[in-house]
Amino acid sequence: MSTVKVLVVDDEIEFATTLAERLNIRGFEATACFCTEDAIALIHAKDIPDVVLLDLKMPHMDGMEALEEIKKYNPTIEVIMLTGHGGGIPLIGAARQKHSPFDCIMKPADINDLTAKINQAMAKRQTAINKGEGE
Amino acid sequence: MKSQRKGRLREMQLASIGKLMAGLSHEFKNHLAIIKELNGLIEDLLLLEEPGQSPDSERYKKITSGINGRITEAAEMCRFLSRFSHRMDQPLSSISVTDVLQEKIYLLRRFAQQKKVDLISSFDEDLPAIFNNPSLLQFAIFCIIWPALELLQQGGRILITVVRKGQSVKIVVNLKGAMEKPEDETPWEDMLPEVLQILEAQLSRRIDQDGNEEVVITISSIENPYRDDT
Repeated sequence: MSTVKVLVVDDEIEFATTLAERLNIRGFEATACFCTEDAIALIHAKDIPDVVLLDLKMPHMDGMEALEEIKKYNPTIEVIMLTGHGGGIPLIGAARQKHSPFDCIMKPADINDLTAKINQAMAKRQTAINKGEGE
Repeated sequence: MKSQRKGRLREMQLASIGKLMAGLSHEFKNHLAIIKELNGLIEDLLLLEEPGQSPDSERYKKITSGINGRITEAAEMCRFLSRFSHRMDQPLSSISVTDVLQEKIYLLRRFAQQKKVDLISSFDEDLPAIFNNPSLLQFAIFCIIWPALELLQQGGRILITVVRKGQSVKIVVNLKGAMEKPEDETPWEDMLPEVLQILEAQLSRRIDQDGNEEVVITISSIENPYRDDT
């Protein structure tokens, strides 16, 4: 099985780079990105991640808007929302959202919980790809 | 009617505190998340080290310096939050307007940074201490700054200048930049006349031809209802 590509998107540069490094140590191919616009540009440039770890509250385009953009481009990319926002989880599934994230994890997150979620998200993406969805 | 207005004022003041706490607790969690990741990275690197291998001390120094920086920022936030909370201990007290406003400006700064709006303040050094209501004064400033932060677009500027005017203090707030209609139309500004009436402060507003607004509050001591003159 090939390496799972993870894109960490968070405007807290120190958080995104450190988390990406820790994921790389664990055998993922993780890249850090510091704004949603750059993340979407990367994906449009065909640098397709398997799983995106996306901060909910970001300047300009927030995480939920970015989720819509990513899913519109390729619905098999799985998105895990990361948030320090207490009201973050109830926002998921809000009426205006067409797509849902794979899961939403509260910050600070445990790295083992996070890697387990990434693997589950990857399994879901693989199933979708095998069914010929979105590619 | 009077008690209804008082109730509304209390509700709005609580709502303003809620807005600040929600944003700042989010910020606090961010600091904790970064500390957790940096600490985790040290653990990871230690586990990866071969026995007998000399540690990359520069790398560890950089990580621990990141942790220290975050702890310093989080502690500073707690210090301001604690001071802000204690402003509500007594409705009236002798206050330094500089301290009272600096606390509020510090707490509002992260919201300004998020919107990429400059929040700049300048204080005269010889401001007189005044006897008044510190938490209501902070709420008055919130009622000006918060809607401005919602309205101002990226690149906007809020300049707060505080100067002495005899035994009073003049607070001048200049709002500069393009404005957009906010999603949240909570009528914070509508509360201002009532708040200033309790503070016995004067308000004036001026909008220049470019649409930039200047709000001026002049505040001085009010009579101490608990003072025993006998």
